[in-house]
Amino acid sequence: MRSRKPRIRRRYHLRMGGWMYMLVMGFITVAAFNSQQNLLFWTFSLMVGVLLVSVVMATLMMRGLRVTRLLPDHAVVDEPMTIRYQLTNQNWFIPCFGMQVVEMDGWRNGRLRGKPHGWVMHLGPRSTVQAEATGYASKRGAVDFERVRIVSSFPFGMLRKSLTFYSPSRVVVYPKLFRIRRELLWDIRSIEPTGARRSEDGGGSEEFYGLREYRPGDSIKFIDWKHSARIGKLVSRDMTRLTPPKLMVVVDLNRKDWQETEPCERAIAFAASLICEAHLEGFEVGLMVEGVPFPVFPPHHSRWHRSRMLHGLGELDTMQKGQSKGITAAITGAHWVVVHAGDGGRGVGPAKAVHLSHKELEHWRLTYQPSVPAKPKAAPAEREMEVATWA
Amino acid sequence: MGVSVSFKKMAYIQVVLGIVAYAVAEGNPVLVLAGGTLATLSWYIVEGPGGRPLPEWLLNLGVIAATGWLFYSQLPGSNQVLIYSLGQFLIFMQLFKLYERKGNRDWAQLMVLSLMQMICAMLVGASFLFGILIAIYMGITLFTVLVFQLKVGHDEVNLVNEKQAPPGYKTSPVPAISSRHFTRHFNGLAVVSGLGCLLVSAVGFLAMPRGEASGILGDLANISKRQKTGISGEGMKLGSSGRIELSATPILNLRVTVNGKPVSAGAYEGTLLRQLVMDKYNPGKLSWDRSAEVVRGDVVINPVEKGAQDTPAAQEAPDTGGEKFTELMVGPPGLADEPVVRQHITLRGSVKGQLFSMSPQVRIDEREIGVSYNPYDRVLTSRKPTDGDSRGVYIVESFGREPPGLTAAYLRRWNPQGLAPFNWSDYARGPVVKDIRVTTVARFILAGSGLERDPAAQSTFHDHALADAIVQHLQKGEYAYTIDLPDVGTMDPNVAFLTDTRRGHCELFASGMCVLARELGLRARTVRGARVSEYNRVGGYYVVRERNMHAWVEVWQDGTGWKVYDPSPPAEVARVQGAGGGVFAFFRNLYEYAEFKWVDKVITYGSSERRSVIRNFETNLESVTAMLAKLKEQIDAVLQMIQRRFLNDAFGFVVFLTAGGVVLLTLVVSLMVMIKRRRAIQQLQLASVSRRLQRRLAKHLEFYLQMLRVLEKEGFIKPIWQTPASFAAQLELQNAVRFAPVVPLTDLFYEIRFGGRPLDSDRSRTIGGLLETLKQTL
Repeated sequence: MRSRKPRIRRRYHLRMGGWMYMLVMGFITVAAFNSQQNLLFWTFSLMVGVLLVSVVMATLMMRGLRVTRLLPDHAVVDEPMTIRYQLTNQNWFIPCFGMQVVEMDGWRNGRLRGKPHGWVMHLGPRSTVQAEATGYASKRGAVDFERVRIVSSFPFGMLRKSLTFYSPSRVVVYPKLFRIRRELLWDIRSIEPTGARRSEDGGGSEEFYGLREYRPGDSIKFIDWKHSARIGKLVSRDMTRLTPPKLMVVVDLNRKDWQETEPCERAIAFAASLICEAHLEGFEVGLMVEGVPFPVFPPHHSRWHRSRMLHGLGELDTMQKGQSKGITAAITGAHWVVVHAGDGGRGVGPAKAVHLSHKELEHWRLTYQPSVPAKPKAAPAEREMEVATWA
Repeated sequence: MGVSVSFKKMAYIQVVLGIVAYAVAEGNPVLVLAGGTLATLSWYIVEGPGGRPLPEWLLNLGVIAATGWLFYSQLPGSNQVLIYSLGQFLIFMQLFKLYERKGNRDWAQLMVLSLMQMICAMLVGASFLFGILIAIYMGITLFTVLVFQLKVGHDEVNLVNEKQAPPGYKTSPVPAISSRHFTRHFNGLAVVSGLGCLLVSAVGFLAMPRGEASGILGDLANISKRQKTGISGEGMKLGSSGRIELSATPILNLRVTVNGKPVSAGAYEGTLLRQLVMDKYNPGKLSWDRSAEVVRGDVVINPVEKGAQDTPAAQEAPDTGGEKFTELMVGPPGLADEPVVRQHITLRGSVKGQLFSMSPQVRIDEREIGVSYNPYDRVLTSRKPTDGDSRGVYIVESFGREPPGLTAAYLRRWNPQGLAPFNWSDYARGPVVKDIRVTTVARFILAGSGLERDPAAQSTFHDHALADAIVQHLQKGEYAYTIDLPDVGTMDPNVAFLTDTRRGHCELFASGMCVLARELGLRARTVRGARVSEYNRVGGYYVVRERNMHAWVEVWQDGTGWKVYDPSPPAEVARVQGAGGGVFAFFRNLYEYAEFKWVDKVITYGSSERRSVIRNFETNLESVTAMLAKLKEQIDAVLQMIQRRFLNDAFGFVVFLTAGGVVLLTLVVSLMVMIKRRRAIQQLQLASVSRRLQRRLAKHLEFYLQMLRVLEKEGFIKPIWQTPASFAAQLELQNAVRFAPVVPLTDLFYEIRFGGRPLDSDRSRTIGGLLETLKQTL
């Protein structure tokens, strides 16, 4: 397959050191011609030589350089995002030294804290290395990367040569994730006194569900020998299995002041953290957003499902008004938690849903304090009332 | 970490070497010891285990003090030369920097200070040892700068990452990614860069136009702190006391040929080279000088018209490269068969105006020096200052002896050019000092010789015999040769030498003899010059150093002319001035030769040399062009021959076409095989193994590439980063039946590649079968 020629822009930039060097060279020239000192003539010629070699080496060194960006699947706010680069030196003879790999565009919309910088000390001729740059996302959303710049001041530091590669790609930044107090999930689980439910499907090992034809791999202890003898072929007993509890997280982004986004961001971050925490606890988690157009994710337990939900929350546009797209009626047997961006109302979610207003989100957030795990802060009156209701 | 540590070591070496090189250039051993020791010590104090920098306030105080000292040293009335003060100030600054905590900016400042100091050193010194130190310094600096660039780049990235991290987040240093053979590539690039710089600098140095120094820099230009102990300026000053330091600084190099033929090595050792002739003693200054009447006789040889020398045309006048001799005499008949001694003299040190030569001179090729000649005392005077930093080359031809009638020959040559009138009767005659003790000594010598001499007589036929008697008197043991001169107080040094101390060096011997000769009425004059004492067998020339400076006497006698008398004890003079032998003589000569070449080719490289280099380059270019033209002619001839033999008939044409086709096909096939092999080596990642193993493995592992090609046809491409095992596992996971042969083929690949197993017939059969199965299953 013929590869497309990458779009590259080359630039030379005389650095401060280079200007100083030129200035000193000027002084040496004057001194040499006025004093006719041969060593000064030699020094001047040497300085010209250094300048020429600097230009030639910088030009030749990065001539056959190619870079491919390998972005991660996602990033998380305030957590390091490692961007990998595959650098190839197509030059036959000349190695490259001292290269900085700089992402030029990701920081423009404020989603990254500055330009991620990577460093490659040496890249031999006809060889490939993988470098990495660490960026830090400051906001959730999609980060668009376009230009990667390779910069080198080698060999003498006076001339900086840069190669800019154009390679558009994007990565979604998930909302900020933090640990949630486990008591919240315990409280939710405590509503169902029997604990885990049994699935209506077979495939487990709990109680008898029915009989089916033996399949290779079935345990011998599940073979119903009597039935097998009766019908002349092996029959296995199918058993019911336990299913984890279900949790449906609803993010209510309805608020009074539509321009105010800060409470929405807090609610989204809390919801994302809750999803992760519930996933870790073994819950089947679903997601729904009220107030903005957003698909409904029915409860399910898988990493891929969790990533889809986080991805959706990462790309959620809080300024758009609309409704969730999806059918919630089919979601049965789930516990509902409604995370409100505003003060919240009872209109969202089923009657038994747990409502968390924006004021109490901080309360459930687990902060790493050196002190002993302390009592929860004085809960607001509304919270006390709801706990009483659950009890 | 590794780069950082190696950079620090190299930077320290660079700075210490810079300090030592400057001290060597300045010729200051105290500075070498103090600066070098303090700089080296700083490594243990600051960078060593448990080391810590000095307090900042102390260093700041030191910087202020050093700056104050620099200004103080340049106040009116201070004798400090600016460039020396500046150099020493830079040493202080570097020492302060070495003892402080250093970031990248400080390191850069330190390196710049070191470079500035080397520029100061270049203005101060030009010795060969300094040249060697410069070369080492430049090499180390090159590596230091390159490593510094890597360090700075790495630190910059780490700093940016630290700044970008969220508050409270601790970042780890970015790993320094490097592919294989870092050291080899780095050293190679450094050497190539260094050679490139050297090449450009050599071309620039050789081709850059040279002119006259305009002196805008004032004191910075032509600075020389070296003490010229051998030549004491105009005249010959007596009256000093204490020990004379013998300086080994070279003054000139001398090559001698007689009638165009080289002479045997060392044959001219002991020869006297005249420089200055003094006929007048000044009792007030206690010195011998040239009388004003004689000085008026200086005639300019080949005068350049006023203003012409300032024009670029005059400066850049083409140098024919041939010799341009000027006759100094119109020789009397009978001198045609006289052997002519040619002296090719290259000045290497200060000669204070007067040029050296053997006497009597016949002709001179003054080159670019510009010379005046005085036919009365035969002194050659340079019209340009000739010091150690400006080259002077001239050729003088002289007779080996003093033939009669020379004065007339000189006057015939120079009188037509308006020679100043000259009173011969009083020239170099009359008592020098009026002291009864001197008269007594002179009469004693006269009495001892058994001759008589009327002091009023201009010349007698036994004047030279009398001079011989004086020499014998001075050399008979009563007078001792020493370079540790006694203090004579207010007494005239001649009187003290002849009558009291009787100890002295060559100048006192010569002056004493001249005093005695004049006392007896002889026409005598003192001569300052050099005694040729050292022959360099490596370079094939004589070296005259400042310690070889000598003084002697010339005595006139009618009919014979001037005759040279050296009253100093010859054995003592030879002992003091000799170069010494021993097992290290060869190495000493070698070093001396290298030093001369350094001065000759680098320090004193001038416009004429530049023209010569460019001329040689043009000549070589022409010869290369001519060679290429000749080559083209030969190719044309071969082509014509081919056409004549092969292309004129059908059979020949077919043969030629077939041969050409075979050659072309061979080339194409070779190229394809080469490309295929390189590609295989790349795909099999065999770059790290030896060439021999590469060839063997590339042949034996060809089956794996075949397997990859088969898979590639079906759209299953192995990425370069994926290991064969991982690729096989991935395919097996995808479809265990379809890709069943991939796993055993991969196992065989590992066995041969890493297990050292041969590709025997069993394996070949297995591989063939597996490949066939893979093609079918796919």
